[in-house]
Amino acid sequence: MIPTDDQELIESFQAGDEFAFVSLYNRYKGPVYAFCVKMLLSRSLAEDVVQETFLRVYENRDRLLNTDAFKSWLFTIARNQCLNQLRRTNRQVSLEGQEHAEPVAPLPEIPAHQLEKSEKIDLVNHFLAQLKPDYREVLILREYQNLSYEEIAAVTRSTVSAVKSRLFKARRKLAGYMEPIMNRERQGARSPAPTAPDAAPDAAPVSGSTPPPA
Amino acid sequence: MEEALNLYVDGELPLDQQAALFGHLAACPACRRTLDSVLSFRRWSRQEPLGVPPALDDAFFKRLAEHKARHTRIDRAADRRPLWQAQAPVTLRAGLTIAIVVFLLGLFVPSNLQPVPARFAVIGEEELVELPAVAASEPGRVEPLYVFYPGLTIEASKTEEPAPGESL
Repeated sequence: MIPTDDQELIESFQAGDEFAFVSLYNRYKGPVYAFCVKMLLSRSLAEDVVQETFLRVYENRDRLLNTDAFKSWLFTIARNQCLNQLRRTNRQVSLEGQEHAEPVAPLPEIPAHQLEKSEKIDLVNHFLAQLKPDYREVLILREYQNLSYEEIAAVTRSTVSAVKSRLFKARRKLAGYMEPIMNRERQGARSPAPTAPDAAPDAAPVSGSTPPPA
Repeated sequence: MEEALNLYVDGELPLDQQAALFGHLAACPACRRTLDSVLSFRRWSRQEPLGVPPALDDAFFKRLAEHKARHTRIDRAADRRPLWQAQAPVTLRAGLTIAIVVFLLGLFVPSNLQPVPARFAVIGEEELVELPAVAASEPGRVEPLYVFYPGLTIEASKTEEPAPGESL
């Protein structure tokens, strides 16, 4: 009988069942890949890190004593690999380093609702790049992976109160980064779209976006 | 109120505290803007497709197969050993160099030690034991007995030829 839940898969994997490992890989490769992409902001680097993460899982399967904590253990490995990769690529020096100072493209001068999907994705990546890795990781684990505070604390080897503190600070910074765009959105909502001074409807594509509310 | 706002965003704020938060939001434009920004970020972040590319699976299973083929289990604990416990292979050239250097240093080290005089252990003494009684009773015995220590060895000397006609 093929095991289906995580615990059975992990126990089978630890007992030497290779198919159980493949099942675990297929189950978790997506979340780990998404986490790595957002942490590294690079898909090619994320692919390398995902491979390295699961190789470590394969090598160190005996070290996982609590099979209930597999997800936290897996993301801990992925997180450490991401931080190592960030250090190697000099994107961020360390968790205590200064905030990311990479030159980025200026924010679009259009309201948020007129942004295309790809522009919104670029903005998300732009805002994530502004955050320090220790803020970025808690935000990603919460917003993308939907981990609980306790799980994030286990992954980042910190306490729940520290996780909350970092998450709230990250959101405060995020709100500050998004403020100009959201302000334009509100100004566009208060005034008619054709006469909005900074709406610039002719300057940006509006296909697929909803018209501003009257 | 910021904590309550974040807990609400995360779905962790108890129901009995939500009314107070909503009352605050109604009166606080700054908190409304923060909430609006956080929720907008959440909406935008979920628009990005983050599917795993098929090439990742191929590359990973190829690496895994290579890893299994090598049958080498990398000892990550070795990376965490302190420096004084670090172990590293030494090449033959390095080993020879170290041996030559140690040998040369040994040649030039001044030696103040006096030569140790040779000591000989006395393993036995020779003692002359005269046995006058024996000699008197046996006129034919003219040589002494030799006794050696620690073991007792007695060298018996030959006696004179018996007189003709005496029986042995």
